[in-house]
Amino acid sequence: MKNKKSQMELLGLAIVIVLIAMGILFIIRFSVLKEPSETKKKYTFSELASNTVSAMLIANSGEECKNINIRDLLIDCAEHFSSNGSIICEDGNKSCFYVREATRSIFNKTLDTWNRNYQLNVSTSSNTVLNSSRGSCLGERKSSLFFFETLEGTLFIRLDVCG
Amino acid sequence: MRRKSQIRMGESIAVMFVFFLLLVAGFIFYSKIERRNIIIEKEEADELKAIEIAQIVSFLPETQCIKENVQVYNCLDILKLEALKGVIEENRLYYYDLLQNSNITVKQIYPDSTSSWIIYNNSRNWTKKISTQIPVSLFNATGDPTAGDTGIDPYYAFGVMYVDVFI
Amino acid sequence: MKTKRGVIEVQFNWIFVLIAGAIILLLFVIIVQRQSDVSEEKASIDIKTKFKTILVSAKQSTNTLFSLQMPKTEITYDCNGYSVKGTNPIVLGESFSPSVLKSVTRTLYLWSLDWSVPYKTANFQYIVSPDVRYIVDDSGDNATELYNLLPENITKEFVNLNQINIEEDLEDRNNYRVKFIFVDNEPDGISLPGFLKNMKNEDVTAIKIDIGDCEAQPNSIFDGCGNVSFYEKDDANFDKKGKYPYLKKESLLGAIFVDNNDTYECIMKRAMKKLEITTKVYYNRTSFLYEYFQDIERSNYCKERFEYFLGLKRLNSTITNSTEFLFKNVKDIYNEVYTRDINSLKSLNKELQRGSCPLIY
Repeated sequence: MKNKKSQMELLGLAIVIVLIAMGILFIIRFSVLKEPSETKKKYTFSELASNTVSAMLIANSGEECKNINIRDLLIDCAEHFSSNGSIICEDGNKSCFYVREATRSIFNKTLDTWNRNYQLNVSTSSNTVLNSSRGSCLGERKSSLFFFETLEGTLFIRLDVCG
Repeated sequence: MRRKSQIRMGESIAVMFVFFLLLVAGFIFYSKIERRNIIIEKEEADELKAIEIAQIVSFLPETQCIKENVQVYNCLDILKLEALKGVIEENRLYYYDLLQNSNITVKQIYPDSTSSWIIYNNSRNWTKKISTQIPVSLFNATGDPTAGDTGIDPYYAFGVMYVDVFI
Repeated sequence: MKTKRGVIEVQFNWIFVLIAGAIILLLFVIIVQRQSDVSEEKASIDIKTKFKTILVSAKQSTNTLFSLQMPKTEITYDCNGYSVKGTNPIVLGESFSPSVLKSVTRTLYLWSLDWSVPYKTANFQYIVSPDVRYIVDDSGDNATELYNLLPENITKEFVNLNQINIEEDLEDRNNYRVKFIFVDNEPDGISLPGFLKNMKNEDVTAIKIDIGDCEAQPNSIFDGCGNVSFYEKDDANFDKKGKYPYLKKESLLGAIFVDNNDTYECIMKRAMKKLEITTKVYYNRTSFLYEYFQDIERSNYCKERFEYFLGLKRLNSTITNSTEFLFKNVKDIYNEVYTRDINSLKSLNKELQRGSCPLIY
């Protein structure tokens, strides 16, 4: 009888300890292991691709290439891809070469400096006018897509910024 | 008899001691967790503040391009940025309510990166800086082709607005 | 001889248990109370932070009505901003709202409009509860137009407030605030129904709109300038609290949504300050354009450059007038911008556009 009583007491204690342990586990799971939400990262990430492309396309080349904007240079490059473009810039380079250099310069000072991986693809159905990337893009990505009509069909301009 | 009561007293005291020890240990554990959670929440609040200021700056009528009274999204007027010099300094108190402790700079990246403008600068003692970079178009009205062939400045440039919020 | 040790021991044990138990209980009660206070404050700060972020975002999205689920708490509003449970107020600039925001359905409506005079100067934000009732007096002219100016989602109705049996048309709907809107009619002669008489004075307010003699914009007669008079219930009648100007329909809507004349005056003064600052920016910009095209090498590119000079005068006048929030100043600002025949800012801008010159705004 005494054995049974003390055994019951011990069992009760064991149950209490198990319950406390479970409670502590829950606390650890939901409180201690709570990850900080990356609100700012999501906000800037969501707008970066579209802001970059929209600002880049309307930027004028100024004295470097007859003040023509990048969008028109890309269109010219797409329409005269076989001859590297028909517009000849001030330094003697054609539009395709100039626009590749210009976009490289822009990304060098922006996304590259900010350690952002990206993939830029400018193409028609027949040709890839421009292809530029940095790093791998395996995780989440935000895309910005623009398209323009050219004599060689629709020109797609797509920038993927990788998370 | 005396021994027995002493042992029992000792027992009670030992139980109380262990109980309070467990209580204190539990308290310390709880307060450490709470402290961590509060730090996380404070970081999130700081990030929200940085986003708010970035949003306010992005939509300031004093800097935005306006075409036929419609704000052009993601575009800053260079002439307004030039015109703003001094205006914000004169009205610092007004802008503090909006922009608080922050640094807002715009830099032109393309076609040349010679120009930059400091819109607002108020950085006091700080422990943390949250930076946001926003690519923008920079519009120069004097280069507008509808104004005739000036051939002087490009009328849209590519720039970046840097918003640094100090906590 | 037997001792009474056992008796003392039992009693001492009980006393010991009572004291120890009481101390432990007290400790737990204090801890729980402290925790409860801390949790409440934490919740208030959390609500305030998230609420501010939502309001700031919504303010930038103009011409859009948002519906927001509010927490089960009361939000107070005055010139200093929005306050959640006594925390530091959220300062939002040009924002109009009743002095207390609460809702049985926990819904709030957020609405933002551009205030352009004529260039965009500020975003006016309106935060409204569906539990506030807006009653437009339909006996005045233009009442229908005013009614249509108010957003659809708010609790608004059309009632002829001059009729004798007003009690039949105005039934109690358990709103915590009621606002009457009169256009060109005085609220003095109104006989309030019983349920309104029983409400607190500050919960029943009225506004009278006097459309000024500014040449109105084509889209709305209320998009000009005028005066608004604020009234508050004084037992059974309305007592006039103040009279202030309004400039464009956005500020008129602000006057409709605030229920305190001091708050309206404070916010509009802030808006006028913003107008002064924005105009200074446009002034400096126009000054640069004027000098730029005065240069002999560039003068042929913009033959209408003299419009910049006239524009500078108009802008300077706006800067001077926006330092005081008075009807004559507001009227002058409006006329400098929209009327004054060929020399208004609007006309000058059109001339520059015709000449393919960079615009003033």
